[in-house]
Amino acid sequence: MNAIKIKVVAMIDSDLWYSFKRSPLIIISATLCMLLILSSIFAPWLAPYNPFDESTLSLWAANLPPLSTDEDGFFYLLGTDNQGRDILSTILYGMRTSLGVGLAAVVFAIVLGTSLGLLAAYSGGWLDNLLMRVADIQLSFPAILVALLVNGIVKAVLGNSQMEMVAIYVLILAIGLSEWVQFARAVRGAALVEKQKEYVQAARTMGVPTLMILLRHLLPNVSSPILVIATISIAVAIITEATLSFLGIGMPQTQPSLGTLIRVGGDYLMSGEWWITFFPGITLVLLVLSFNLLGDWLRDALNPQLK
Amino acid sequence: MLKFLLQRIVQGIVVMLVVAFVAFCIFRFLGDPVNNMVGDSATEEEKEQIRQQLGLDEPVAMQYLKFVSNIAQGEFGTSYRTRTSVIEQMKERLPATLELSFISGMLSILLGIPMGIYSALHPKSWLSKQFLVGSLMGISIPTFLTGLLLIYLFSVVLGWFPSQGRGGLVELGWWTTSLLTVKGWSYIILPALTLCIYQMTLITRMVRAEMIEVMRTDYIKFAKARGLPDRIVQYRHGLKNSLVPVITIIGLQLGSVVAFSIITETVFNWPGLGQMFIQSIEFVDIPVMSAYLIFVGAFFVILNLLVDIAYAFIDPRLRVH
Repeated sequence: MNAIKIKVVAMIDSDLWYSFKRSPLIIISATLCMLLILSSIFAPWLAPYNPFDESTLSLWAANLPPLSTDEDGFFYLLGTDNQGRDILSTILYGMRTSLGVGLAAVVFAIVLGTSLGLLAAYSGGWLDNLLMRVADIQLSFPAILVALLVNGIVKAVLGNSQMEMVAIYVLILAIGLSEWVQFARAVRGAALVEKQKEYVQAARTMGVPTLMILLRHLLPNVSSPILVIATISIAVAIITEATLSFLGIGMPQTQPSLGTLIRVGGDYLMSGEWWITFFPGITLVLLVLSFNLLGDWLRDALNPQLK
Repeated sequence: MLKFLLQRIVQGIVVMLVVAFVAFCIFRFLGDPVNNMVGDSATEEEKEQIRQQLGLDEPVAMQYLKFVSNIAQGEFGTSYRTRTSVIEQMKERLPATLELSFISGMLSILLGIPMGIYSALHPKSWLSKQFLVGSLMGISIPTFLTGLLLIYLFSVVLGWFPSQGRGGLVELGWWTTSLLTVKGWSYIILPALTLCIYQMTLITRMVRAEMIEVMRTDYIKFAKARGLPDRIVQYRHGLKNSLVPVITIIGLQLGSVVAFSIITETVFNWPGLGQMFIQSIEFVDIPVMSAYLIFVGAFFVILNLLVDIAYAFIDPRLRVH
């Protein structure tokens, strides 16, 4: 009990909390971020309609503008799309997919990047060299291209029909593989510095196993760059997922993400039906913006040089 | 200096060999190239003939060498989908992509650098704050959404510019350009703007961060203390020293313009290499996929080399060694 109390007091006293309290923009974007995350977790309860229940769909209610009511008396706050689905509901479910893919891809990138970065820093020698050269080469190609390529290769292996079933896992793999380098580099850099410090040498002299030193001693001390990069990476991953889905090689229409919804809406933009694109688009921008703002703030708040 | 350049060229060649190896693996091990090249009705003898023609019965290392030497001679094979030569297809589409990338690259540099300098020198001014908010929006709005927004505003509502394809072309030998007619410009302006916004944002942010860093250093304080006029301190001492990292970043950013042009070309139905690549992924057209990979790899390697050369001109320390 006492330990928890101390932890809470330490948190409120910390510099991080202090700088959080002082910036209204950060409070707003953190609140927005939480709201969006919560509403995508509770999408099935919040959404006014189930957009994937085909029995409730009718083409008569297709392409209705916002604030309209169809013949059966159903009300659509943000209008309907080309299949007569309520846009508010598809956005809630779509955001769920977008956030899920983004978070999973970043977790994958963190695990892969951190373990390779720690390994490179700790072992040194040819392994370090090899890993960092691979990282250099990959870094000179933009993430979106790497993700496209991984996607294309998996598609060639699996064929089109199976692709749809595993699309979400392929996306996570592709986006994760396109982002691990940043984590590996940051962790390696930080670990190289930490490795020289006395506590690591002391642990080694005491005969602590290497794996234990890596996980128990080095990892906690290199975690703040990981946190900063992760926040910004989520934004990048969400954009990458949306882009792939927009290009038609991400999430299928039966299981849409925000990018897929925007892709569908794009076809109707020329005839003036702007709401099919606009609302998923603005949701995507808010989502990415709030993560970017939080990431910027974390980077400044955790950077000792700026204090 | 010469040693430094030679070193970089050798590095570039190694990178190209690695990229070619990835492309080779994609071509050789994804699906059966023979089955993809002949129809279903082909007999075993015909298949065997093509297999020998491709050299698929030779050892893998030999095949890789052959693959590389073919690429060096500009031979990328035939597309599985259109049954036409890949290199011809790329030649036809290259001008569209390069012109689009060039225009948007220039736009992002010409707008991004002054904005970055201004907001670094006057961090408290109203305009700088607008630039900062704008740049945050710029990195948070995905490229394809920017494109759709511009299409809706300028093509659907205002009707000023066309939203699809490339027009007003003039042929100069095998190069087709859209930069010589007003109609051509009206087609290129929206995609170029779309492509430039993200890059411009990044350039503005980098120039700003770099310049703020430099303006904090001791030699700037010293120059001020010597009583040099602000303009000289800011431009001759400040800007010049912040340019070195900025050039690297801009060089690499211009490379990613080509990658982002995949998205822009899809939104605007622009007949360039990016559109070709997306189609090749959709139809699992492996020769086109690997050819595009090599093209982008070569583009990046050459760009990196140019950045290194530019370095040597700007940073005298490199010339001495």
